[in-house]
Amino acid sequence: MSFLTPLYLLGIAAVSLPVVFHLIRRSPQGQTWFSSLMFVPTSPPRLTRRSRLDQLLLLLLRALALMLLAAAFTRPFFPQAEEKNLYARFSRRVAILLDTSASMRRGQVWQQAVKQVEDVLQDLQPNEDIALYTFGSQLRPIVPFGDGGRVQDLRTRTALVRSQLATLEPSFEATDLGGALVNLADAMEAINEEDQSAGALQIVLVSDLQQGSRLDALQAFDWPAEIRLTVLPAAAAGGNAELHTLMARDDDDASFLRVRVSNIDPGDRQEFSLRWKRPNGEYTSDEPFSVYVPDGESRVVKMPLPADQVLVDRIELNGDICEFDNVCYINPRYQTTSRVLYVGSDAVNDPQGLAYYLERSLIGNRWRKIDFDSRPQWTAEPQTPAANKASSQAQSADQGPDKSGPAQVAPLLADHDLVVVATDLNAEQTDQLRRFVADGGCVLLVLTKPELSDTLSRLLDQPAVELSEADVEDYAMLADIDFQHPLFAAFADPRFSDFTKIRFWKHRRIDVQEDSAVQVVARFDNGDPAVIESLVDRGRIVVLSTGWQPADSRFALSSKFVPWMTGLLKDFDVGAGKTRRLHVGDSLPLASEQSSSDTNASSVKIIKPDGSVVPWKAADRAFRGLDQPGHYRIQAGETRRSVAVNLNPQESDTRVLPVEALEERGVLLGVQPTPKDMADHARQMRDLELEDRQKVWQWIVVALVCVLILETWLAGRLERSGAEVRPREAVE
Amino acid sequence: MTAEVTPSRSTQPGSASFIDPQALMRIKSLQWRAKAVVEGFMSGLHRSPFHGFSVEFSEYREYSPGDDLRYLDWRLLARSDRYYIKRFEEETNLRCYLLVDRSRSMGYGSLSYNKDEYARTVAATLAYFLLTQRDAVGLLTFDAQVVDYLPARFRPGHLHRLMLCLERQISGTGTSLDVPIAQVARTVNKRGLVVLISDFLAPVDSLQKQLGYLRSRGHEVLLLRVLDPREIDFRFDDASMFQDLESGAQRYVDPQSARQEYLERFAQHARQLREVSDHLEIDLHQLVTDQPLDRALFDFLSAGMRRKRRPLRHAGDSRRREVATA
Repeated sequence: MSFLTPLYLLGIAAVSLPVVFHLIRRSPQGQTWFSSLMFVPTSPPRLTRRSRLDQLLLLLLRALALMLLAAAFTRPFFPQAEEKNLYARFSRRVAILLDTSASMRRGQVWQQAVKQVEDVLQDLQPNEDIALYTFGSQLRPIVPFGDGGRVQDLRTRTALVRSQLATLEPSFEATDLGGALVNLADAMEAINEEDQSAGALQIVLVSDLQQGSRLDALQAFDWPAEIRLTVLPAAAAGGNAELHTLMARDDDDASFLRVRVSNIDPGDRQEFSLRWKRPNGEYTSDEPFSVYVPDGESRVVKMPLPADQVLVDRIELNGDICEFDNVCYINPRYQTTSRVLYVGSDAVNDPQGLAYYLERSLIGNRWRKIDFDSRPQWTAEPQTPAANKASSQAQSADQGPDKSGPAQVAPLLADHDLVVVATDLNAEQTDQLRRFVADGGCVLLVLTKPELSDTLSRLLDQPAVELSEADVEDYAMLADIDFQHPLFAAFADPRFSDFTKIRFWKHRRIDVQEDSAVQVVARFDNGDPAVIESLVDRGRIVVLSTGWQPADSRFALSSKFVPWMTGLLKDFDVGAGKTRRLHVGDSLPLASEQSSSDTNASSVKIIKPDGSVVPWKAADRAFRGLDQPGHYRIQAGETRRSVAVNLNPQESDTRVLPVEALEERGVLLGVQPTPKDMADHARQMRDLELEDRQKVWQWIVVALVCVLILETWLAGRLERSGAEVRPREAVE
Repeated sequence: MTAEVTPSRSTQPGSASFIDPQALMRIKSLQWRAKAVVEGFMSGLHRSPFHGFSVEFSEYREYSPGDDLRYLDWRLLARSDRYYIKRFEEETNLRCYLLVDRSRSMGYGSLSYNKDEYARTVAATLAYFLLTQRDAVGLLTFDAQVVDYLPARFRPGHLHRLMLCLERQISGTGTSLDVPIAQVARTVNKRGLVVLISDFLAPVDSLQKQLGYLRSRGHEVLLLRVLDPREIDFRFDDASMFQDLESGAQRYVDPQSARQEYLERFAQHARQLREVSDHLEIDLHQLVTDQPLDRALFDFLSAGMRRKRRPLRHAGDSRRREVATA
């Protein structure tokens, strides 16, 4: 016999109350006021005969009636078998998503997180499946769910998770919380679809929930309705300050470095200091550079470079509580040299020629030196002194790509980045140039006269390009310019896009066929091509159908000339002048190494900051193993270079992200019922059904009515017999 | 508990002339009650034996030989050359102090009225009577402390003030007979009559000392003990919690078993009180609240007669008598 509402059984206790009240010695009811008790003696209280139970049978009947009433309220029923199978029908899958991003390195956060995971493991019930995933910038299954939805023995799984958990430690990655949640939810949904009996799905997120977490992946994600997320936060006390360097402006002198210090998560510190560190980890002898940053603000400071030209590769922030992001690695900057070769008949000091303006337009700066070389004619034999070449190689030994290319490229050209041609070239020369271009070089062919058609056709590798002097009435202007093209991208802004001031007195008409390799970038107002570009492998050939000397145009005198020429150079020079900032988790582009080591890929090695050496496969365009901050040294043959990799700045934003932020992005928070809860619920529903079918309470009510009738009859009889006795007593 | 209806003594044979106290107590005004009682008596039973000056001038009378020359109006003689005698209102030397117990124990009553109401009526009756007799009446009400004190006066409006004092509700707790007696002994220098109206439900030990002190100051003392019939016979039916009106103390009492002991203790206390009064030659009268009030007046007057027959006592008299008896 079971009860639907067993609490009503307590009502049976009410039976004892009348008996208890009856047996309690009654205190005298009456109270008499008297003037003074000085003469009144105390009398001991007497027990009256009321404390005896007279009508025992009546009492029992009434007690029985009360008990039956209570029993009816408990809704009793007779349970059926198959109790044990009920529990096995329900299961739950719990995926622990553990944050292993760099911000988990703060204080005791990681220990707290591990403890939270342990607590989750402790609370698991049989019929629950457990999986462990970690995430930083991407999701990693550590202990994924069992295959085919088969729920394994929980103890085995828990032990497996525990053993894996012990080996884990926080990484240096950024936090892509949104991506991890989306991927995990997708994976769990897939499991659920495979196995229909998988039961409830629960994700337990153990994270420090810092504001720097990326959540954008959740924006476009439709969170599955059957998955619930619980968040177990691992919090850290105190605040955090962040440090990173800023891009140097071109007008910055070499005496300082721009650094931004952000007190983004205010703690109790506002005073910080910055110090330079050598590659060996020692401080320089410079005084600490102190910075005052109020709570919640950031300051950009010009940090003086170390005195005495000491080689430094990092800045350390002192005074911050959280130390995981206090070191900022910097790339030591070296001056690079771009070499430009002009091949033409005019002299450098002739203001009517091209070279005069070209040399003056190519202006170097602190970080880039430009070597300009002018030659009247092209010869196959190298004329450049060997010493000159050797010195330029030494300068670019540590950074720029090695230009000691294949033997087909003429040694003369091999050193150069840009070759400007304004004269006739023979077939062999153009062939060499094409190889030079294919190797990544850039050639600018200036068509100063129609006789250059042969050179042009050979260079563009087109059968016969017709070239003739254009018929210009007064002057021509550049009209149809493709500002999307890198050559003119610098002028895309409407403030700079006015080319109408540049007048061209003469130009050559090129009859060229546009195809995938040859593209007209700009045209004159009469429709003739002005600038043509042809891409050859990794390099490019740019053809200008006019000259910039005063006889042809006023191009050299315009303000557009210098940026345009530098653009030619800069475009070629990408990667050498300004290196991209690299963060942990980014991919490191190794195009230069790939090009230079096609034949000998195994010789490229990457040495991580901790000293481990990773071989690199040439099939990969980029290296993806940037998993810790510091300096990565890349060895490709004899060439070595070093890149600085820092923590993602987002990771330093350790302010607490409210859980509501997840909810706003559609994540369903909550706890799925455990198998026990579900089994209890199912049992309850079944009991309800059983009770409804059996309706035992109705029989109890019938019995109650019978008892009440009996009680009434007995009470009446006793009353009558009592009434008969009393007059007799009175007579007596 | 229902009050047992006991036959009133006023209905006893021989007392038909008295006013039924039940009927009397229905009169709300204390003064009218007193008047009703006193009117039944003829005035002049008590007359002051003293004559003399008084503040209250009455009339002129032509001088006739033999008149006391002290009362001759000399100024009038000087002005008009005629002999006139100044007559004053008679002034009594009797100063009567009514000491009325207003303690909580007086609030007990098994009849439709309580002892306090009875005692106040007695006091009012005496005051009214005495003032009618042109005697000075003072009033002192008390419980554990002195509540009200009006010095003995004979003035228009004095009766009204007395009535006002008497009409106040009882508020005190315990009874202390020593305090009022000591107060009277201390403040009243002239000899007079002190009427103490109380139930005397208090230890009598210190009472003897205080009353003796009062007597030694030359005062005549009359004790009127007001009791409820239930206090005398202790007739209660059911056992119950008895609660003391004064202290609030509770005691479980079965009247059946406790009655005998109560009566014994009560009688012993009464005996002690009687001994004290006899020893000090003080009149003690017991007034039961179901008795007519005129009886109290009767007792008072009979005591007064006895008092007159007695030589006026002085402080030294008792001492002399004690020496003589020794």
